[in-house]
Amino acid sequence: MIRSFFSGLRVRLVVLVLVAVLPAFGLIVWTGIDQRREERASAEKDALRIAQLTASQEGQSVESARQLLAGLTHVPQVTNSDPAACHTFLADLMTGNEQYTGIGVVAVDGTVVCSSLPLTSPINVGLPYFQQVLRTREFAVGGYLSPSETLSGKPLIPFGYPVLSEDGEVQAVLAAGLSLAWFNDAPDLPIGAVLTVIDRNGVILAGYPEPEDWVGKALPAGSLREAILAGGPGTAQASGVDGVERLYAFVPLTGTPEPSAFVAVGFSTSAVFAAANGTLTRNLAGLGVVALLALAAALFGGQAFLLRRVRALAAAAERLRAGQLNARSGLPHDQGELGQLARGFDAMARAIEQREADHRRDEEALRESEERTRKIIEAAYEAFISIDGDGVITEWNARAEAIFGWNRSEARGKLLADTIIPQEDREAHLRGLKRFLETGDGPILHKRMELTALHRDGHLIPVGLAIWPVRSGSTWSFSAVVEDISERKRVEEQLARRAEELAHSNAELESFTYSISHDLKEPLRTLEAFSQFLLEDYADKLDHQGRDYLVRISNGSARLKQMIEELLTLSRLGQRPEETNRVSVSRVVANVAASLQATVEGRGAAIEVEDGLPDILGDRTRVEQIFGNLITNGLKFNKSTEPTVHIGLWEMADDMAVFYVRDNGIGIEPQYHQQMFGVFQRLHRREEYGGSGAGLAIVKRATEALGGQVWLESEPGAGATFFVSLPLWAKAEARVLQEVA
Amino acid sequence: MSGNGDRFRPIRVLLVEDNPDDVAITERAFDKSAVVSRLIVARDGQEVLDLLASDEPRPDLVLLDMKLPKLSGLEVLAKIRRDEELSTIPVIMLTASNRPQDVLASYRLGANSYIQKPVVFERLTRALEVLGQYWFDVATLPCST
Repeated sequence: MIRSFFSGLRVRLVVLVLVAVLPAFGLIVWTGIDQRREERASAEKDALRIAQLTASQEGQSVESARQLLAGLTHVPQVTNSDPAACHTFLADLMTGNEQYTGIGVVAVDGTVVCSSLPLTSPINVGLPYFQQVLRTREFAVGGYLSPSETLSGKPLIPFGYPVLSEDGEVQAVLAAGLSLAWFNDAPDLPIGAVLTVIDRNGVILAGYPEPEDWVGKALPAGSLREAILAGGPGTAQASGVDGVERLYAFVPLTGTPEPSAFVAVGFSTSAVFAAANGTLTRNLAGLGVVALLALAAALFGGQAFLLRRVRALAAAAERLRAGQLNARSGLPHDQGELGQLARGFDAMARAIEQREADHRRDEEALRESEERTRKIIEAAYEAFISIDGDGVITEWNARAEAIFGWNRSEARGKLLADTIIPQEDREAHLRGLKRFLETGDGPILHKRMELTALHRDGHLIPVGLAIWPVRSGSTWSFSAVVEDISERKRVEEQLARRAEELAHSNAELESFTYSISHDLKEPLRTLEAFSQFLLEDYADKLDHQGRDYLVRISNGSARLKQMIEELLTLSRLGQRPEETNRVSVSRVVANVAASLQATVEGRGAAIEVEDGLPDILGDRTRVEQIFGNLITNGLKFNKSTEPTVHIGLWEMADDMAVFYVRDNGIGIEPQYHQQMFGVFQRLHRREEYGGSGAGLAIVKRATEALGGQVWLESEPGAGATFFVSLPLWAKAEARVLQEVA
Repeated sequence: MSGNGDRFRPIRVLLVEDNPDDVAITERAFDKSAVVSRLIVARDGQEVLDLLASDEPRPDLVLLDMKLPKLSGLEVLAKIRRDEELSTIPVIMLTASNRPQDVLASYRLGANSYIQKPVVFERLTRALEVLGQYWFDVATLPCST
């Protein structure tokens, strides 16, 4: 409560003002106290001075009394024993003299001989002053006597002076009483001051002003009385008998042999402190005005300069909190702290507004993106299906409706297991779902699968699908893209059937070719064998012509046999190889060159092979056929004195290496380049160049079986260059490794 | 010939061949050779099995064509090699081609040699030389008692 009270800005300002005024207040009070102290000291000093002055006046009075008495002892009227004359004299003497209460001659026994006063009763000879006079025969002063102790009923100081006889004996005592009434006049006292004389019992002997009210009464017991009776001189602040607070200074009266009365001078404190109090009051009043003005300034200034701005800021903050993002403080951004605060606040508000705008824009973009995604999903050619962790369908797009026959509103909320999963797979589906949620193990997730799904009408549909889990917080859902692959399956089956048929017909063809050639070779063998036997066994029975015919039959059958063999080779090499391996072209070419060594040496020919031919992917038989035929042809169709065949690498492009086989042979006219590769195509008479004419056909079929191509560049007389492209082994290996990875 | 007695009886050669031309060619090759032989001809796979199962004396050598009606030559070879009685009879396969897979199949099933047809003198002689080694190493020489 207090904290909240002090948390108010205005309250704090007020407190600050008060704190600021406090030292001034302290200073004023301190100054006031100081001034009072000074004034008190001054007053005490004055009072003491007056008291001492009064006391000393009393002392002078005693002295003058002594002189008076000493003088009177020499007055005959006094020393004569004529009481009447004495009385008259003394009465005259005392007339108008109020300083003494009375004066008289007292016999040693106390009898009053004569007196200024009409006294009849003897005086108390037991009083000390009287005895002292008798004993010392000197002037003696008695203690103050209170009114009850005197014959006159007035307070007085008694004196005695011996009247000595001629022989020096005390004849009588001249006694006088010094009146204390003169104190009552106190002519030197400042206005407002009081003077009191008390005896050692505290009884007021005299006083000013209004002595008649107080004389004879005892000073009330209290600090003042104690302090005075302690002896003095001293000062004290106390209430007087009239109850007025005063500063008193007191001294013992010195006229008497021992302190028996005291004079106290009192200044009313209100008078003493009047100036100081006045100053203090004035200063405090001034300070109060200043403080009030400061408070007013703090309150109004705080209102004008602080509160208004702070409240504006608070209001803007509240508006901002309430969602009004364009709220600004509306305050000037000056250099002051509040200006900086306002600038900071406005900048913050602007930043928040900007961020909110960005956020809203992002949300809008996200919403649009979601909308777009939804549209894409809706329009997708594939079915999009989502299920939650319990297997309940949550998403079902148009394509899913078309494929499975359930419309969206029917499908959503149903178990996937109750809709498109065939009866026999349902348990496995639920088990798999459970296992994934428990262990995170989902072997069928994140990959494409082909399964059989159930249409609403009960028929089974082959589908391709990929399922992926989506985590949202602590729950999982699963989405799948499902494709109806019925048509593709049908096409695939058709293709597979065709491929099978094709393979079958290829096999049939090979078998056909094989059996044809085999069967063809059988009669040929007979022909060959028996013409040979005829030649061997009956040569002597045939003439030259007959033998020539037989030789022709034999040659023809041999050529037929070669053609059949080459047809067999062609049919074998035209198939794709059963398996392909890394084949070193360098080694194959080296082997071919070695097998042709006899021919090379016989004709002074050369086979040049580049180093570092790359390995290819194929099978050895086909690669041997390709390079064997090309090199053999290069040497065969060659009239050069130094037939040369050069084998090298032309280029490597993509996955293929292009090899070339260049000869310096007879060359081929461009118009024949295409038909060169036909089976049993010959450009030259058999007599000119041997061979069946199947070599290039075998090269072409073998190259194509390995996935390559063959072509040539040639001009008649300028030799020929054959190009063969074959798959690079390194590239194929890299691809396989990549697939494996 | 008979004067030579059993010691010099002609070796019994069982030729399994359905083509009469090839039978004639093979007979000529044996005629040309120094081997004194008696050629028995079977025309198909079943016939040769029946013949081998009969009381006829066991042949010293079988020339078996791979391509035969009914049972193929390789099937016949397999049956011979599985038969305890017949398993040691030397068998030379006759093939129309020298396709590597045919040759390999022959040896795998236990052929002693093979001859690419036509069975002319030189080829027969080379095959018999190979067989001579076999006879020395494994089997009883047919000319010994």
